This record gives sequence, C-alpha cells and structure tokens, in this order.
Amino acid sequence: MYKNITIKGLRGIKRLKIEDFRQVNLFVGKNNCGKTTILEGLFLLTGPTNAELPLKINSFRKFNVIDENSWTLFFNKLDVNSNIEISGGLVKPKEKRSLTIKPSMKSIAIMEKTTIDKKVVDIKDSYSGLTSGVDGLKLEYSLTKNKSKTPEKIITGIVAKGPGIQFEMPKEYKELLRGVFINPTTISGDIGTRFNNVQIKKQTGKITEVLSQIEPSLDNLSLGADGIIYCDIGLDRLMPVNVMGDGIFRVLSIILATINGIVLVDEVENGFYHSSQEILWDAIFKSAKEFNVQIFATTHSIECVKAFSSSYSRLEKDNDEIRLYRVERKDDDFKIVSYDHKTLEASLDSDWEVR
Amino acid sequence: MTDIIHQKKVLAVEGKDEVNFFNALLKYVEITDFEVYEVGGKQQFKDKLPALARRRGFSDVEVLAVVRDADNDANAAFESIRNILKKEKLEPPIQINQFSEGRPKIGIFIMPGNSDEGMLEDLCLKTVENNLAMDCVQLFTNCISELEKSPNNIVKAKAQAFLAAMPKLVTSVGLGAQKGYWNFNSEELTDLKAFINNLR
Repeated sequence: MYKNITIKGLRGIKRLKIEDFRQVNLFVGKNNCGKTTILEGLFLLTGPTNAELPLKINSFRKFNVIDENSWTLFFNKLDVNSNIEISGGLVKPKEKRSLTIKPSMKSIAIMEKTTIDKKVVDIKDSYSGLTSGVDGLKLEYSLTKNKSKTPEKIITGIVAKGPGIQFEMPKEYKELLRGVFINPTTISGDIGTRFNNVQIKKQTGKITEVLSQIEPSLDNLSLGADGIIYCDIGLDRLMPVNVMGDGIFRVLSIILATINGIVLVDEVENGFYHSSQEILWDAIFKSAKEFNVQIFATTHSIECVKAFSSSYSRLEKDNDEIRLYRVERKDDDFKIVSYDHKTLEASLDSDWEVR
Repeated sequence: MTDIIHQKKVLAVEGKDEVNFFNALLKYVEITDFEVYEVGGKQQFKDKLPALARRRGFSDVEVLAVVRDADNDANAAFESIRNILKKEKLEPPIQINQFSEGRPKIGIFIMPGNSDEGMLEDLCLKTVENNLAMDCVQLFTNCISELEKSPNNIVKAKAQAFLAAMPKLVTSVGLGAQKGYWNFNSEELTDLKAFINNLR
C-alpha cells in the first residue's frame, strides 16, 4: 500500500509530493491540474520494470502515435534534458521505490557540405553539427526493501526499431505489486478475462457477495462461452449483467479490477447517475476492504464527492481510511490540500467547495 | 456552494446570530473588506476550523479572527481554539485578545469580554444597561426567575425580552444588531472593537 509519492518532471507536473495516502484516495481539482498525471505516476511506479507502461498511459489518453516527438510528451515542458523521477514509500510490505525515466538518445550527424568538402572537420564545428533525437526511453528502477540498506537496481527500456518497438525486459526481477488503470474508455474492456481470473481464483462468491448488497436479488454470477457475464436474479433464465440497472455493470467492472493490488480509476463518476454514486462508492469501499486493495480515483463531480463522504459515513466512518486531495496548480507550483473524512464532512455540511 | 475565500481578512464565529451581529458591528466601525464564516456552534470549531483552513484561497488570508463564547470558562474556551489551530500547524496567539505574528496572523476573542463567563447576549445586554426599556426588562426577568419552571438560560430570555421591547420585533440578537438595537457606541464594546480593528 502506498503511503506517499513524489513526482518530478512527468508531463505537466514539475514537482509534487503527496503524503498520508489511505486505502481509498480521491483526487479533485480544476481541469489540467495534474490529477490524471498523478494516477499515471502511480501506475508507472507500480510497474516500474515494465517498459510498455509509458506507451499504455499514452493510449489511455487515446494517443497511440509513436514517433520521435511522442517520446518527449512524457517530459515536463517537453524538456528531455530533465529526467522524470517518481518515488514512493509503501507499507505492508515496507519498501521504497524510485523510478527515473530518461530519454534514449540517438545521434544524427548533420554536417555542412562545405566542411566535408574541405576534408577538415573542426571538432567544435562538427559537434555543433550533430543533433540528437529521442528514439525511446530508459527506465532505471531502484527498490529498497524493508531493512535492506542496498537497493536493488533494474534497468529496462523501450526503443523504436524500424517500424516496430523493442522492449528491454528484466531478466531476474519479478514484480509482485499489481496495478490496474481504469478510465472511461477502458472500464468495460476485458471484463470477461478479468472475471475468468476471478473464477480461477475461486473468488466469484466474494464478488457476488459485494454485488448482492447493491442488488439483493443477485444470487450468482457465471461466465458464458460468449464472454458475457450472466447473473442469477431468481428468474427462469440467467440475465446478462450488462442489462442490469443502476450502473451495476460498471460497478462490476470496477470490482473486478479491485482484485489487484493498486487500482487507479480516472473519472470514477463517469457513467453513473447522480443517484447511483453512493452505490458505486459502497461497492468500492466494500471490495477495497474485502480484497485488500488500495484505490486512487479522480473526479470532477461534487455529487461524486458527496457520495464518497456519505457512503463512508454509513459504512466505515471510524477507520480513517479515506482521503480527498485537492490538487491546486498555479503555473509550475503544485499544492496538495488533504481532507480526512471529518474535515470533508464538515466542509460539505457548510456547503464549502472542496474541489 | 461557495467556491473560494475572496477576502484577506476572515472572521470565524459560532452561529448565524454572531454572523449578523459582526456584520452589523464591522459595518458600524466601517470595516468592509472581510468575510464572516459561521461554524454552526461551539462544538463545531474542531471540525470547521480545519475545513475553513483547507478552503481554496485560505493561503492568501492575512488575518483570521476567531470569536467564541466563554460559557463557563474563558481560558478553557481559549485553549480549545488554540489547540485546534496548533493541530493545523497555524500559529495561535499566546493570549486572549492578542494576535499572533504568523501568516495568517490569528486572534481569538472570547465572549462576552475575554476573562468573563458568558456569551454574546451578555455583551449585547451590557451595551444597553442605560436604556429605559431595561427597567421593564429587569422587572420581567426578576419575575420569571422566580417561576417554578424558570427559563434554562435567563440571559437569553432577558435579551429576547429587550428585543421584544423594541419598536419592531426581531427574534435574535444578531437581527437586533442589524436593526441597531444594541448600542455600538457603548464602552462595553471597547475591547471587542480594539480586537476587530485588526481586520482593518
């Protein structure tokens, strides 16, 4: 479970530190304040040796172009001379993760024709005639476990090779932390596969239990050969879960993601009516607890924030396991304002804006 | 939903009555560029002051004045607010009615008069002690105090009785302040006026 994260030089974020993470963390803030980038930073640090993840976070933003310019998009102000540094502290197990992302540079010699003709190449001039291009990324990961003093270091990378992409994968390191990134475009993708994984781990009952608290008639879930998840609601035949009301399909999509370690949900309110927001949070709080996962989500919606607070009031209240973070950005300066549940409740009670 | 704190001077008070009272008093002393926030009762300061300190715009606030009732113990009330502020890593004043030097600079005024026991109503009544209507109010208060089931809060009852004696009936001391029924020129308000002068 993450306790803190520091992000330097990733996309719009020059430097930002967030502390005191809890089991369920909700980010709010104005457009372009860096909420999604924080999720991306957490995602990269959760799979720090997976060199494919930078491309994935671009594709989550519906940007699938890979060329010389696309690599620079990860760097703050497109400045590839400043590395991206993401570090975070975790507990249970206690470890410190640190990921540095550097550009992989290729050199392109551009020499003046006149210089070549002279057959004398002045070192200074020839250097100024070289430009470098970025053809990929280098990922340098450092992991310090519990009482260990020397960090384990793993270097991976991704480089454009001709029409394709070449990944450098770690030979001996196996990442134990799991992370899932959900956004409005990816939420329902792969739901059958995810459900199948749950089925194999014999955890279908737990999913049903969480869902049945939202839809009491729901008794059982099963995966059809057609890849559709069906539910038993006491009728003569099973019903595709897709046609169930109150956003239960989307709730199920999120729950299925929450059987992994870290779940990152961008625009968590998306697809839920105002009246269903509490159902969504009920499901998230219950499944986060049931499957012991840590959730990081973003939202624009005040109804979603209110539901976040009221659902927690009903279900947990005394455990102090949620935080709302407002990300404030003024030019290059980022400020995080953190609300525990009591302060959030007090703010909403007074109708004081928290976003 | 109110979005951000716009002013650099902020007053935090217990309830709506105090909001009305201070809006009237600050207008009287010609202080205009401030915002008053009610916390919804003295028990709410512990949650509402941290909430106020997290509002967008609070980092630009230069002066924060907190006013609460002494009830039975002015020092305990003062310490309670100090502890809430310290928890928020805000610099509280060392003494009642003084302002700290931090940013924001913070002052705490304990009603009715810093070292006394009591509340807003006590202070309001002190300002009108020489008002002729107080003779009637005093007689009425003496009478109801003798009842077998007398009011739990005789000061509040007395303040209501005074308001009932005014030309146009209002039902709260805050609205009374808006109507000009309390004497803002009274010497009894000297300390409070000196305190809110920091919001100038």
